[in-house]
Amino acid sequence: MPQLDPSTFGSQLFWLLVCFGALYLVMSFIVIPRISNTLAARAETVEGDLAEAEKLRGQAETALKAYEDALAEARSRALNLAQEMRAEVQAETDRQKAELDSKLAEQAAAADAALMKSRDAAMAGLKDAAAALVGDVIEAIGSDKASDGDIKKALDSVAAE
Amino acid sequence: MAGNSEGGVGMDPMHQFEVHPIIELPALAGIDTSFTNSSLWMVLAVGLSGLFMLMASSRTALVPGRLQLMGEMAYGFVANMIKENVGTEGMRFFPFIFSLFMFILFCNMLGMLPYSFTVTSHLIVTFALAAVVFSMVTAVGFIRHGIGFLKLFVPSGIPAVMVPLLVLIEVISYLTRPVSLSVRLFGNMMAGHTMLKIFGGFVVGLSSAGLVPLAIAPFALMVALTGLELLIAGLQAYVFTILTCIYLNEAIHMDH
Repeated sequence: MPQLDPSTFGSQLFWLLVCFGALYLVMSFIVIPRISNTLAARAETVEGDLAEAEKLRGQAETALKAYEDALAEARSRALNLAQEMRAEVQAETDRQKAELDSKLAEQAAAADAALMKSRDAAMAGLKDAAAALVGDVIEAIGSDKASDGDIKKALDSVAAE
Repeated sequence: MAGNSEGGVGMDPMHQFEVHPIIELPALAGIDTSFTNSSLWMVLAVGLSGLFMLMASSRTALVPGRLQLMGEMAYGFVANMIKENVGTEGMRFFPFIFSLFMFILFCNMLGMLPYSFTVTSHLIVTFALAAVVFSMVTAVGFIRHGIGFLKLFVPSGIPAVMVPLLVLIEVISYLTRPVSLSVRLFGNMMAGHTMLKIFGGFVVGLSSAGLVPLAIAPFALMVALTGLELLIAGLQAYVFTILTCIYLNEAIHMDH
């Protein structure tokens, strides 16, 4: 078995030391730092991108919330405005109605008063005519001349019955 | 799978494991430093894995290309293995464990090329790697826990009578780790390549004897075994690395 020939051991060990030592130096001083730097840079970039994406997502959410807030405020303002308008219109209508009512009541009262006045006048005229008629009748019958005051009193008492 | 099929040596399944010098070099401090076929394939494994990782890591694009992605996957594979088995403290040993994984993987895979030499089919190489792992793990244990690291050998919750026996067993099992770690890799590599060589020898022998139809069965088996050996080449690199992680975890956290 050639593996058990000690005369080859020296050379094999010597070259193993040289070769493995060279490989170790190349790996530990060139290859591994390079690759670990590349991997670290890649991890950093990916992490940075993720953080950036997260930040942008946060901004988008804030913007959406602001938009929704603005929308809700606008809606409530519109509602308030509509209510105010309605109340104003209602007040105006009420006011006009009240004005119209009072005007109508005034006119009605005036008409009523005029009616009463003309009725009173008519009644007074009627009383005078009745008194004149009663005077004429009394004169025609030829009895004592009755005073106007007496006649009117008599008529009033009759009218009161 | 090295060697040629002509002549007697081609049929020797162990011939592929022979180490022979390509360039004779003077001994350095009493150690033979000759550049052998084993050295050649070590240099190739290190050169290819180093070149692959250098090229893969030369682009630092945010969205990786194919080569960059392959390099990053290899990095991530070993990094996850350490994080899962050792935790973040284990990342200090990442360069060593990553080099270990790439070295064993490339040695195993290059060994699958016909006429190549499998560096990891030599016990001395796998044992040297396992010894480095063992020394490192033991040193880490003593540096982190001081003399308290020896508590690793005293299992908790057992009757006092049993303690000496169990401590003995624990110490032996700890000390045999470098052996089991190295023999596992070496044995898998050597057995697989020997088997492939034997079946290859059947195919060649039967064909040259004019019995080509009979050579179909060993040939088909060889195709299947080659697939299996590719799996084993990757798997053993993984096993060696993950066992290193598990030993390291024990030395760092001492949770038995």
